[in-house]
Amino acid sequence: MAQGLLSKRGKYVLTVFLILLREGLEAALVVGIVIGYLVKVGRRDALRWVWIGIVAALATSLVIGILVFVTIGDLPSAVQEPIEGIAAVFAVSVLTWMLFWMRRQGRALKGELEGQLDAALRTGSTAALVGLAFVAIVREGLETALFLLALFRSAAATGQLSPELPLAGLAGLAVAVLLGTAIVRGAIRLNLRRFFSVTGVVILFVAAGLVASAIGAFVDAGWLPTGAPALDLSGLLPETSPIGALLAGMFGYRAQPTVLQLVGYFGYLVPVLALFLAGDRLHFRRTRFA
Amino acid sequence: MTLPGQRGAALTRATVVLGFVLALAGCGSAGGPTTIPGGPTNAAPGSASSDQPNASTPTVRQVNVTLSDAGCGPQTLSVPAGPTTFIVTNTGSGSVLEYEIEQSGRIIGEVENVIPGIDRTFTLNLKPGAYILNCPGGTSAATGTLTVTE
Repeated sequence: MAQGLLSKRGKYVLTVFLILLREGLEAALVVGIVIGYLVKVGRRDALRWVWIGIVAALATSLVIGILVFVTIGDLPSAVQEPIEGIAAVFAVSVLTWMLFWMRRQGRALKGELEGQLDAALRTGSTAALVGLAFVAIVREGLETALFLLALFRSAAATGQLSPELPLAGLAGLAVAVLLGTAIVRGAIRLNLRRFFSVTGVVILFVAAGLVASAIGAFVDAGWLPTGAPALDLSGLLPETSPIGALLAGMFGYRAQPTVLQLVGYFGYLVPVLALFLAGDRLHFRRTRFA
Repeated sequence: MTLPGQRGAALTRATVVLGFVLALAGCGSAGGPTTIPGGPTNAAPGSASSDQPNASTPTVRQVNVTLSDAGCGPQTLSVPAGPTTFIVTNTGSGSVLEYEIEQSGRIIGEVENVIPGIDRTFTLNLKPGAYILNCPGGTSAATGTLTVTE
């Protein structure tokens, strides 16, 4: 019995760690891309606004999370899921716009001089990027705050849980931030043209994952009908496994995607990837996937 | 361009963010344990028809359900109509983490990330009828039925 409990506890710690890693990774990745992008295009002055967006998003998640926690305990999914879904749609829109802006700029570059970039990043687009950073954090931030609060409450009040569970959660978030930072640092070292193509491909998969997440959120909200899983990979690569959690956080991996989610994922990925790679023959490719 | 100053400014910002987060976390732990949704129940036989789920309203009925590796427990559930808070606990190993209630192919209420050891709740204003319980990843009880009586 005692041995069983010990191994169980180890498993719980890992589960909590992975849940928070998954929730934090997508936000860390998106925010990292925004920061890397602004640095690469020589708009460090706009970073201030991104930081304000990050603080505002963290504050929003925490304040609303705490308010909800002490009043009704958990946010109803009828409220939380639409927020997550709409935020995902917004994030996909801005990411797609970024993708094609970057592709155009990348192709226009004759050399690798950042000075060749036109100063096209106007106030409007900065606002979109700050909004993207904000939304990426708030999207899962509220849910994550509530989850952490529930962990802390259980650890403090009932004695059911030891403090290692909430700590494992914070560690998961910290690793998410570190991974996001590492990816962006790696990307910043690339020359501008490569940065655009590598980041472009990452954005593509993150955005496709967000499309599937949005569909999942709208299903959970009751806005879209539920569907049986189109395939079941939970035996092969469960979302609760370390690799499954990493893939889920970065690219919206689901072990049991519904038909609708698969259609959404590939319905975004294939045409946008084709357009992204099509280059000058863009108008020919577009008809194929119309 | 202004690289030397940039680092210091970034540090200041990071400190501000951290301080803010800690301040908020402090507020949270002070107020946290006082209100526990799974607190005392007063199942007064009133028929409040509030559309707003509110766990502090005494007429909200509380129903304890469990998640296990098998799925939803109990697999067959029957509750009277009215505002109902489902208190979900996980008795399994953590392979099933989500509890959903569906009607006519749509999810009307759910809770995610119910790891073993914590309670998570959701509140619905249930109307009489037949509902489906769904606990994704479960084995023998991945789905179940909920009957809401008058």
